[in-house]
Amino acid sequence: MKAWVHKQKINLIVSRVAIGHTLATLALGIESTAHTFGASVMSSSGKILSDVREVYRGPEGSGIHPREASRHHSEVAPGVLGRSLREAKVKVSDLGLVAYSAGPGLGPCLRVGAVVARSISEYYSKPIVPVHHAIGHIELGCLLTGARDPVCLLISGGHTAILAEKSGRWRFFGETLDITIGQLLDQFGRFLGFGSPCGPRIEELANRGKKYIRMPYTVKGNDLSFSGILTFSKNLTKSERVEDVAYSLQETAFAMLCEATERALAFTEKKELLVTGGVAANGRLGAMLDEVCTRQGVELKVTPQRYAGDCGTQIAWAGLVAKKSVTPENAFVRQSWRLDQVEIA
Amino acid sequence: MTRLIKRGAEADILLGKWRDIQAIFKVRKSRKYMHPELDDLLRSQRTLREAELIKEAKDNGVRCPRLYFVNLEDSTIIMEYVKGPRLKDVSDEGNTNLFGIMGNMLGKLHRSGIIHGDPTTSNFILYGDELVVLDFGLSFRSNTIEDRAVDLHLVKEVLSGDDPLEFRRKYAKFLEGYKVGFGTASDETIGRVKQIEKRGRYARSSWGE
Repeated sequence: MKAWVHKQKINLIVSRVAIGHTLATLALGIESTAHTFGASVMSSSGKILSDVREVYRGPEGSGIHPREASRHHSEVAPGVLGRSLREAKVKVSDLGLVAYSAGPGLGPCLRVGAVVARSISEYYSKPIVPVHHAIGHIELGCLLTGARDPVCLLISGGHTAILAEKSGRWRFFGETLDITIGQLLDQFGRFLGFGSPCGPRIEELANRGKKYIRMPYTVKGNDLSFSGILTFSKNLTKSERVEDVAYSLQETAFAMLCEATERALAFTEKKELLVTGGVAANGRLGAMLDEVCTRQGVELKVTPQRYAGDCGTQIAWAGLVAKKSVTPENAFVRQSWRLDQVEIA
Repeated sequence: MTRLIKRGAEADILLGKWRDIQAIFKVRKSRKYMHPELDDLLRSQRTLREAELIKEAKDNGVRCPRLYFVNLEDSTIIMEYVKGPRLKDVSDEGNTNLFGIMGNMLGKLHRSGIIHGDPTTSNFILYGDELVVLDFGLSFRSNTIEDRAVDLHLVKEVLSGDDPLEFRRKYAKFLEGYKVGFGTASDETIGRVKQIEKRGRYARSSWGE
């Protein structure tokens, strides 16, 4: 299964349709990695024609149940797909390609998106492009912010990584050694009885915190470990105000992220920092990263909130950028798929 | 008169005079984005630990900058100015075996119970014909296989930025040197590196394997 993409027959996509006066390829992007089922139509000129999504929400205090989430996805899939095409005012036959999120993510959820993509591809004879979910975040971030050659801080429930492009691949300049920043916020939030995603709730609590409590601060080289903070915070709620714990958790975890990011900026000497992923929405982290960029003389580019989280658009765009299609019977999903294994154009 | 030569993420590196000798001033400046309490703690803790570990490394025969003065009040270390290109920018063609020497130095550090914490090729300087290891800012004392292996893993990560063939060659040389520097029990540490990679998020397969 290793490097399976490269073993497939790679077809370059040439199918183009006329839109107005310009020739552009239309792509349908299907996202179903975790809690979101999304479908989006994008043109190769970079225009987003539609972006429709439905988000699975578990009961308060619990996370994403993979089976329940995949059931949710299969229930909403036809509706989301239909709305996406209607809003974009295109027919399936207008599409130049179908891109789907092939991993990494929750297996049952990924399979829903892959099945939808394969069906369309097979029935309408459209090229099908498997997309790495995180590459989607990065590519869309670059498009929307105009970043050309950034250091990328990818912070979500599935990823916490500091990346930069080198020799045709996104390289890790630091990443989490255990749980992601999104998981830290979610798992602590769920411990307090919130439903995922908990980021906004934790931020709200933290804004009311006053006292800073020392927590495990773990930066190994440029890699980070958040699991110590999680255990420590859970225990701390027995003796301290939750607001203060949330505040200290954010301060500590974000300081680690900022420190590692600053080091990557200093090391690579790049001039832009692109921030993307769901946690990019956090205001405190944004302010801290702003200060990091000022110190390093770097431009801060944050993916607009609507497109920082999971969406079909990121998949459509990454599909248009990659243009490497496979045959439908080879359109697999991979629950674990490392970012640095993907060749980028 | 001091002059800023590098604004690092960790500290500012200034070049100046200390009693007529050219010297490096490593100043850990306050990071405004951090909570002041956390910032103060990290700065003074790291300054003191760095100075201690530089001395210990030197005592164990690892070439690192000589210490002149440590000031905890403003988190400053004054030390020898090591002028030369970074290993990152040096071509190791010919028979210089720089990566072997790098491995040897890291091996010696580990044998002395010091984990460097940031063993990138930017932190090794070619000074005349000797290699000098800098920046003990993230170093700590440990004798566990795990901590040593994390150090090696970091080296591997930095080297894997190169093309696959170069990476394999350099990493092999590095390990050769490491085994000599550390001594007989190094295999266990090297074996642990693979485990660490597998533990990382999403199964890793770097180009070296």
